[in-house]
Amino acid sequence: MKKMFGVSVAVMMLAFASVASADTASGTLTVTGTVESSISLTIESAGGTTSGTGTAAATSDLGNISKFGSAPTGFTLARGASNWTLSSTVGVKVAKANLTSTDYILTAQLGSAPASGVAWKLNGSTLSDSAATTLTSTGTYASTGSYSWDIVVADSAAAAAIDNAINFTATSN
Amino acid sequence: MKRIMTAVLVLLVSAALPIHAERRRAAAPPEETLSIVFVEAGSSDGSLKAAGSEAWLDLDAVSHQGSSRSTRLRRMFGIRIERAGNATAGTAAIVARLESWDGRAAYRLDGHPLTAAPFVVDAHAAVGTITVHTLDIEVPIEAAAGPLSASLAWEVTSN
Repeated sequence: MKKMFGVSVAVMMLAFASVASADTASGTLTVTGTVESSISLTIESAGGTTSGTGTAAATSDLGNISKFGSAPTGFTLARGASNWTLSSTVGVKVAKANLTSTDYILTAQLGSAPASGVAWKLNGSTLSDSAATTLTSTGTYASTGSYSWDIVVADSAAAAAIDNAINFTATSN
Repeated sequence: MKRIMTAVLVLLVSAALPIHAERRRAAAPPEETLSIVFVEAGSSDGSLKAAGSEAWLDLDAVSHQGSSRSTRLRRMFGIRIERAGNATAGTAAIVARLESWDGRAAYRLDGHPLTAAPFVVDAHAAVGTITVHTLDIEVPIEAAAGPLSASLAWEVTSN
């Protein structure tokens, strides 16, 4: 009797278990790609009326400059016997991503030949348009490096625009 | 008493049999089975290659831009639950989980972080219609350069 009841309960459970079944299906989405290492350079600050800071292409407008005039915004003016110097700083930040390098080399080069009698200097070194000048060989990532920026104008230089570009290049070590 | 129990047993067995038979009919013929199909959606940038229940999302080169602490990518794709025989009735639950990944990136599906634990993407997805989903991939700048690989397992179960 007990056995019969047990069997009937088992059959009932089987019946209910059958009702509870559901269809299933599966699929797979595979994601692939390649993470590339990279570095970025931004101009964080510069003398003059500057635009584009925080990007890789900043512009600094010095306006009209002269030996006996006033210094442009963010610059100091020093008058020498035969020349005069505008002095400021340039802040450059280099950041890295997905890179194991611990420091970087930073160089600078003029975009075009400077006007006659005008010298562009960074960190005391005179820049040229023909070769890059090394500013640091052990730059620290993610911190803004401040580099002294001097524009030396000879008294003999013709009155004219001194427009130029300083091209910075960072290379990871 | 014994006779009564036998009768009860026979009744129960006979009551159970049609359900069993129905179940066999439901399970055996292919026209009743579910399947999951990936389809392109959203930007259709061509990075999704779908082949039925298998799909491949190729992110190509992942290079950091800007000053944020990570690289974020977003891809959209569609999923259609099909019932063989083109039947569109009913709903199904969609569950997804990270089956494998290399640790270079974090994945979010429809805003929900994906892990090895199953995540209910949609508890009542209509069979036969396409549901669009968003996969966000985030690579921290600290992650080492190299190949990126992950596998997302999907499962649909009829309600």
